[in-house]
This record gives sequence, structure tokens and C-alpha cells, in this order.
Amino acid sequence: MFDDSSGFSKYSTSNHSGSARAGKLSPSAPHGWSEPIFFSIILITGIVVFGIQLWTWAIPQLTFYQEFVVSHGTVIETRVAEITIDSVNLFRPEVLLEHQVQGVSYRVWTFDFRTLEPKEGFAANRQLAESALLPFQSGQTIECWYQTDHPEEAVVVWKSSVWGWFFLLLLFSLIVSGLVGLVQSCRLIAVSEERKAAQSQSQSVFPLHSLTDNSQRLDWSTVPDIRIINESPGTHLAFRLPIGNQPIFPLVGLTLFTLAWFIISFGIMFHSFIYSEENRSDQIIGIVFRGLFCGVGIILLISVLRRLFLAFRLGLTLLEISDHPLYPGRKYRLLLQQSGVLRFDYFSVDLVCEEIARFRQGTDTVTNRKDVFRQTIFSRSDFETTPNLPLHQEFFFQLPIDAMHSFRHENNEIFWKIDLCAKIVSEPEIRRECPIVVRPVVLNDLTLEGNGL
Amino acid sequence: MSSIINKIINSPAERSNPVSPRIVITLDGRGSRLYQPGETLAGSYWFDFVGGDDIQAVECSILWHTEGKGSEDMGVHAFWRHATDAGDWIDPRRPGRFRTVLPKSPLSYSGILIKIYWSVRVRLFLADGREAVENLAFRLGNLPDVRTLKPVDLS
Repeated sequence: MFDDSSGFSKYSTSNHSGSARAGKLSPSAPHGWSEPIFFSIILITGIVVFGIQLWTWAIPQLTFYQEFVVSHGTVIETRVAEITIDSVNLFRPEVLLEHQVQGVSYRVWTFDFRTLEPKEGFAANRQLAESALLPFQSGQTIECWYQTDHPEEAVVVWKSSVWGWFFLLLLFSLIVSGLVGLVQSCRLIAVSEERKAAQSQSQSVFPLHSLTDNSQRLDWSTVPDIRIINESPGTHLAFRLPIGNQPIFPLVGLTLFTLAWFIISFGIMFHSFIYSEENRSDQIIGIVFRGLFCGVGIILLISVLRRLFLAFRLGLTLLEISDHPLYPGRKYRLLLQQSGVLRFDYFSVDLVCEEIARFRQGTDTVTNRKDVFRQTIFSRSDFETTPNLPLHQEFFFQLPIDAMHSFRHENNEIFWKIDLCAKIVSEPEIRRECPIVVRPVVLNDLTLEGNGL
Repeated sequence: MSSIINKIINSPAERSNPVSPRIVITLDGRGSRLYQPGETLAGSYWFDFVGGDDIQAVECSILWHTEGKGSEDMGVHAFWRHATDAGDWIDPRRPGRFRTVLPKSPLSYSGILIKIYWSVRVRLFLADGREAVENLAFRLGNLPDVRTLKPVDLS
């Protein structure tokens, strides 16, 4: 019974009474350093940029707050100051301000805190400097700020950039994230994969130091959710199955792209005919290239029309089931209804179990699919449907008693579905799939003799 | 990189202690390793060729994992950890116990692209930085190989 194919191939060190011996010895900390390195880079970057921003922007701002006090002064005159650096004329706005401190009057050419330095605050745009002076009129009393130790140093404009503080906050959060991530990833380096998995599943249900297993388990955690199907009641049977494989959004996207391509390429073509170039050889080359673009547009349009035709040609298909989720060994009733005016070569319904395995190959995720069980549960050929006589067929099927339940995890999936396959006369085959969920039979939960009818 | 560092660090220890620790896992009172969902799995584990002072921590897990074409998935159903730095006293010759009610899914499965295995895994962390690990496989449910699955004929 316990041969290689029965699930014990990997660990064959034990005997039948259930014991294993001779543990494999390995160095500890087999986990990757990529996360700690990643978080270290974030942390170092955050600290460096935060330091630069703090030193060059935040500290001068705070110093300004501390050393300058608010007062009032009078605008005497305004001007645009001009200097030439490397043969380039640069400009900055300046206001001649008169203000009084403790009875002493001061006159100073100034604007913002950059103008406190002789060569700061200049820009190549003269108009910008002129527009900055517009709010200042001669004789006007305005708010100003002067330095307490040197009252001759004053400014009339002072704006504290909100974005500067926001950037500083962002850098601070980068440091915090880097630090937390680094501590967390360094801690996990020495943690076994089982402990990591247990922690990631739920720290609350897996008390790590508990001596007994006293937690409530999520028994269906690897079985797909049934709510999507069970929230859709049927009109004849209990549940209506969602019919998948109708890629509406990609189709809409492709249609819009094709229309845009078509309109632009033909627009350019017509434009070239109306405003034709003088040079004949250029004209021919232009027509060839524009013709190629138009040709691609026509091919795209044909492809989209064909896809739209296939997507909507089959019309409304209704599939209802007598019970859901399904259990191995139980019998179920299925209702198939197909409306529209169609003539079919054949129409078949299959019960399918598919294995889906995903793995990384370089930067791509490769998905492998394999049907491991397929049973045709309904088949009909050479018939017509009309508005008065749609296809309305009820039939039964039974899941094999040894069938595996549905299973879904990050990289592997066991996917049960009802496959619809229709071939309309003179048209390609159309396939649609309806996912179903199979749960494992658990003794005491239900009897195997029961059915889902 | 870490494994290289550990190898360098651990080489003298391995030379001075050529005998590897042995982990023994046993399941309680049955000759079969076949369990049904909802059944209780219980057993014990102990260690040979290792002293109490050499052990830093012990982890015992009841887990499933996948093998096959896809990348490995793993789920831990039950997990226990005993560590000396957490104040736990670990005697290598005194059996450690584990006991859990097995879940309803996933069942052990032998498919074409996917296989699901259940096992009891005991991991021993030694004070010199090395680890020893042992698995004892068991089956949850009694599904045959998927290749033997036959359609049900209702006619």
C-alpha cells in the first residue's frame, strides 16, 4: 500500500509502525539575504536623502523662524535687480523697505530670504521678477520680518513650502519602513520555513509556544470559495453556474485600440492625399508607409470583428445545478438552456477536473494545465434552436467517489468545471467553462448514499 | 552567503562532533499511516546522539506540501516550538508529544502535475548553529492515483 505512488515516496526512512530516524543535518539560516539587503538599501537611501534635506532645507527654515520676528514696514521703491554671470543676464525682484526697530529706522533692498545673500535668488526670467513685484506699491505698508540681532536684514516675502515638509515626512517614513523591514527580515533569516508559514497563515490561531494544538482550523482554507456560485440562485434548479471564458474586458480594450489605430492610420492617409508633398519620391515612400499602417489597421479590424462574432454568436447560455458545493460520489441534476436562432453541428457538456501548476521561469510565470479527468455528461448533434424551440435539456451526472476535491493555493490548483463545447454550422468551435467547487467527503458530515438532487 | 558563513563557522564543530544527531518520530498506536479527515493524529519524537546543552530549539509541525510541475506550496496545520531562550527545558531522551485533529482538506493526492503530501516534521536547532530535520509522511484520506479515476456511468 505504501509504495512510491501512494504518497510516501519522499520520506521512506520509516517502517510500517510509523517511525522515522536519522535526521538530516544542515547548517542553519538557509533563508535568503535578498530581503535584508533590499531593506538596507531603502534604509540607507532614506537616511542619506533625509540628512541632505534636513541640512540644506529644514534647518535653515527653522533657523529663520527662530531669528526673525514679524514687524511692519513701508515700501519706498521697487526694482528688478540684474547681474551677469557667464554672459547670461539674471534677474531678481527687490523692494526698498523702510522699517523701524526700537525707534531706529532701517532702509534695505530686499525680497525673500534668498536676497539676504548678494548673489542668490536670481533667475533668467525678467518677467517673472516683474510679476513678483506687482503686489508692492510705493508708500504701501506691508508685513515684513527682520533679524533680531541684525535689524538691517529683513525680508518682505517668506513662504514655507508645504511640499518641503511633506518630502521630509516621506523620507522619514522611508527610514521607518526600511528599519522595520530590516529588523523583520533579519529575524526571519534564522526562522524555519514551517514557522514562517505558520506565522503567515495566522498568528492568532497558531500560538507559537503552545504545547498543544488547541486552535480552531479553517478546514476549507485550500478549497475555493463557494459564495460566487451560491449567491446566484437559479430559476429552475438551486444555483445558476457562472459561465466563464468570455473575456469581455480584453475584448473591449482590443476593440478600442483597433478603432483608434484604424481612425489614426486612415486619417493620416486622407490627410496626405489632401496635402500632397511636392517631391514625388517622398510622396511614394510616404504612401507605402501609410499604406502599411492602414493594412495593419484592416487586419486588426477583421480580427476584432471575428472575436466579437464568436463571443456573441452563441447567444445566451444558461446552466443551472441542483446543489453546490459538490461532493464525490453524489448525483446531481444539471439544466442546460440555449436560446437564439442557431443550427448546431454538435453541442456537448463535459465534467472536467484540471490540474494547474504555475512556476517561475526567469521573470515569467509559466502555467501548465492538464485535464486529469473528463466525462461527457451530455451530447447532441445536428439540431436547431429557434425562439419557440430553444435547447432546454435536463440531465444527471455523478462525481466519482474517489474524486479529489477542488484545491487552490499560490502555485497549484485542482480545478473542477463544467465544459461547454458548441459547434455552429460553418463556424469554428466555441468553448465555455463553468467553474464548480468540489469539497471532500467527511464521514459524519454527510452520508455517501445521499445525492444532490 | 549565509550557508557559506555557517559552513566556515561550523566546520570545527562538525569535525569535533562527527556523530550527527538522530531524530526519531513515532505515531501512536497504529500500524498504518492512513488517517481520515477529523481523526486525531498523535505521536512523539526524541533525539539520539545529542546532549541537552547542545539543543537550542525544537520545532514540530504537522504540514502538507506540494510537489510536481509547479512551484512548491506549503501549509502548516499545527506548529509547536520549544526554545531554551524562551525558558523551555528540552531533554533529548524524553519524548516530546504532539497531538492534533486533522483537517478536512487538502487530502493527500497523487496527480499528474500536482502531488500533495502530508507529514510530521521535526526540526532541531543546535547551539552551534546547525539544524537537523526529519519528516514522517502519512496520508490524509485514501484517494487513489488520479490516473485510476473512472467516469460514473449513470445509464
